[in-house]
Amino acid sequence: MSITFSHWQLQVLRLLLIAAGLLPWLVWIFEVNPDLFAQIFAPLCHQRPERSLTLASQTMVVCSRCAGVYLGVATGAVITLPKRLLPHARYVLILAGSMMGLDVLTQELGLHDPWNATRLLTGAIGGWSLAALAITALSLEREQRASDVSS
Amino acid sequence: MDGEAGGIGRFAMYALIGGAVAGVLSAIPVINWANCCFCLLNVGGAGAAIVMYMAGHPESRMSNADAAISGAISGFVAGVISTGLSWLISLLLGTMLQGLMYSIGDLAGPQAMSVVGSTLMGSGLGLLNFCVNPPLYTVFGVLGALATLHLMYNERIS
Repeated sequence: MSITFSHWQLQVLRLLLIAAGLLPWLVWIFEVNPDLFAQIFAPLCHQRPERSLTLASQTMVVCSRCAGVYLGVATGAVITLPKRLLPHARYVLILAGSMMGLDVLTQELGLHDPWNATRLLTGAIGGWSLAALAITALSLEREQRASDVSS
Repeated sequence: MDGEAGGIGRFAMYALIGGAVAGVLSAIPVINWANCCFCLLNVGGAGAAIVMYMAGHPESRMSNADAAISGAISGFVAGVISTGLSWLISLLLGTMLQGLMYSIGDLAGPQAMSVVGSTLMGSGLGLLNFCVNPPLYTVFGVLGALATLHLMYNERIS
């Protein structure tokens, strides 16, 4: 038998996504031991200062693209994919991934300088698409299983 | 139609393999730079577990919850192995570098000292890394597994 997430398990996943997504942002905004967290996030991001957001001379512990991804993940846990789009989720993922890929490609080919705004935006869209798909798919599956059991 | 009987057990092995490979690769210097690109190794490991299961069971279907749990297992295993191996490497390398620093003394310079300091700090962060990295890897493992399921096996979602 396939597994089904309970309501509370789904809420725990949602909280984990929000916590993971907001972690680098909270570290940055509240300057929570940034040097320590920079070491922790070092394996997950190149952390190049010229490609990272800066606030009051405090550079974020991840680059702007990763920051966008993390923010997108947290957002996707709250603002989920509309249910009617779930059958077409693969196209949402492909579109989001393509946008990020295009930004990476044009940047690395030297067609433009690293723009933190586009890095942040495309990263956020990519992160949102993943988290939003996860929550919507698991929620809808739970509802369908519950209605199958009751009928 | 649901997947085969057996719950988590039917895909746990694939999840463990995917997570183990991703974890080992994530601990190897230079190779782990791939994680700077959307946690590629971790997400890839979780996705590979889904692909391995589906390839090995061509008649089976998989639910979103199955994929999420498979991804969570892969991600967690990758996070633990990667963090543990990285800690060992930094511990070993830090010790070697410290010995080297004592040997060459003033010739090293401030930049080299900074490298040693970072490496040694990495080894000291071991416990804190274990509290942060495995959960992060788990989250991205879940996302990677679900994305793989919907991208590659949309018609086999139960």
